[in-house]
Amino acid sequence: MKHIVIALAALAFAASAFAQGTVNFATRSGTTVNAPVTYTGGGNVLGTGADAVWGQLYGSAPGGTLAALGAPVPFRSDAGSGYITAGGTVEIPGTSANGSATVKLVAWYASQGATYAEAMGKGSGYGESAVLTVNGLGGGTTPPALLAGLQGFSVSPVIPEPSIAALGLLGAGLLLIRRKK
Amino acid sequence: MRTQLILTTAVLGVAGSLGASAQVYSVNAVGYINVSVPAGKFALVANQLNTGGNKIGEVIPTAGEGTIVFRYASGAGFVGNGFEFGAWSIADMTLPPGAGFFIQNNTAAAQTFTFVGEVPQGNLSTALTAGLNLTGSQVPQAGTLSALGYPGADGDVVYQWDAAAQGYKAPNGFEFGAWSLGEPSIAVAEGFFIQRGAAGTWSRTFSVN
Repeated sequence: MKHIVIALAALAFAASAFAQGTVNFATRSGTTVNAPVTYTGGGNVLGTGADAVWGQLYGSAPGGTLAALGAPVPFRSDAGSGYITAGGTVEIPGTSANGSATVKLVAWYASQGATYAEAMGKGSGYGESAVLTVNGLGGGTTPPALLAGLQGFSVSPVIPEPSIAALGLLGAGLLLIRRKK
Repeated sequence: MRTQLILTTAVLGVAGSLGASAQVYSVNAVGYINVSVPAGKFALVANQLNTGGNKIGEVIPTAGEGTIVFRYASGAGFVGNGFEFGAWSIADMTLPPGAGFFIQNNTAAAQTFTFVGEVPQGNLSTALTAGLNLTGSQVPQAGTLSALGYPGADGDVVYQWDAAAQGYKAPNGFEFGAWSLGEPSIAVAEGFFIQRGAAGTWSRTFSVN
């Protein structure tokens, strides 16, 4: 009888195993997950306004190259500022239910671009967490795993880039000064 | 998963040796709940009626061959119990009110499971562990969690099963005094996962009166 039970349970979990591994994209869950994201200089980031910051998960199977998962999500702007609590279920390609994955949280000023890569290309206004290993992924009938152990971090300030016109004026000014000499 | 609830109230007079002016009445409500599970699908349900010792053979006396019931124990995971050769493989498994469980219909046709029994009344409590709990309301009512007697606590995350999509709906966490996606509404006989930061008890006093 035991064998039947074990075989049946294995069958069901085999069905779960075909599902990709999932995590709950929430940067706070009581004391289990508590990873506030702050502005450099202090204060939890907001998801709205001129200094709006967005977050996204990057992840992969262990040893793989971390890639963007799901869609960017604005941080909360109310009492839960600095956190994302409704990021939803995120699937991690190459993983399976009950398996493991490596993930990190990235965040950037929305003014710096629509993606994290775009913000990084501008050289400022972004930040990311340490890479985290998540075990016991969800998937199938197993609920998504919490991001237990995720650590908070700060986003770097936005350093405005000089416009082409401003650079042109600066160059012309320098030429004039040189001629006068 | 389609659910149908029928309740009838039976007033059982227990006069005993008491005088007519001091009779004590025990009001028992009995009824049944129908849960339909499509062929080849999972349903996440909760038994909400007491019947005997709430052993699986009492709660679900019969099922299609190959049907599997999965209970979940925090830290240990799922335990599958198959209906094979006309009986449940783990006859001692209990499905008491407040316990959630999956039913996997491995037959080629939809199955309707009928739970029959008595509505739990009085001081009801369901123990919840730190971590994941597969649970449900002990009382066969639909409503928000607070209406069903469960106040959210910081760190709670509710995972409800989407029967049509055969996957979980978006996680709904309770942080900073509110549910991220609005307070979850639970249907009659619906089981769900709740992740808790600390152990606790879901307590409710209920009477059909």
